[in-house]
Amino acid sequence: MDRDCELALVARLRAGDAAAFDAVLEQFNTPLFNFLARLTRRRDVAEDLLEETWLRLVTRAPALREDTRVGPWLFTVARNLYASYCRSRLVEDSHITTLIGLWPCGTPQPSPFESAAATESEQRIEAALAALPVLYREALLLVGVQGLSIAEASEVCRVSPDAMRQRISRARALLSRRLDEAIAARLTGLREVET
Amino acid sequence: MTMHDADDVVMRRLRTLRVHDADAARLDRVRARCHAALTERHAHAERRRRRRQFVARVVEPALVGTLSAGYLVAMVFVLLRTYAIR
Repeated sequence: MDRDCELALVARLRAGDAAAFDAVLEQFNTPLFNFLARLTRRRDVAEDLLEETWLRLVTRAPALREDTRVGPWLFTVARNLYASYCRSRLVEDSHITTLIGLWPCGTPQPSPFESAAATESEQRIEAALAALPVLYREALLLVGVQGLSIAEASEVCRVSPDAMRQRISRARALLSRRLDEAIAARLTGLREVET
Repeated sequence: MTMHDADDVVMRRLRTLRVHDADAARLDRVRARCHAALTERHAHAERRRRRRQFVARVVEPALVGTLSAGYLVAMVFVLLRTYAIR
């Protein structure tokens, strides 16, 4: 979407145009869903947060600035909603642990995409991505998977572009190392089968 | 392969990850809910606009008219009283 179209779309959104909303929904629903699902690692939570993101757009549209970048704005809302969800989960978990004392801590589960990945290579990368710390995962999801620029991603994560660049670099290195480890483990397994 | 090349490979692989679609039925529900919210917002804005229009066209002139008439009547009384005293 070029900048002029985006500005026109924002103006229509501010005026409450349903067709403009549909255009934004068509363009960003799938990227937002993929971002949220890989971030939360749960399809149901991702769909709930996605719905909330769209409702936020509807309620906040009149207050949008004229020069708002729709994509980064939506990813920011989605990310903030995920942060709120994590905070509420933390509170819930802490209450439950004080009540029963033996509540299991949130163990990382395979993401829905990990289970659905077609190839082994894809499975490996989904698993490695899902196992990354959330700060690195969101940075890679925004820049690597969704194709946002460093500036846009830093705006979404509310950090400086330099900090985002550093985060991406560390995340790439960590992901690369995890993938190498996974491949090495697989090769060792194959060798054991052969001998 | 250098470290930078390896990183590029990772980023390329990330870009080619499979894209999954959200549940279509749920998407329709979300769209309908948002459209309803937009319609409600539109209706609310319309009601507010009409109220403002009514105030501007009816209430304000009526208020100004009433005050002016009151002032005029008061002036007439003052004049009559002044002439009556004379």
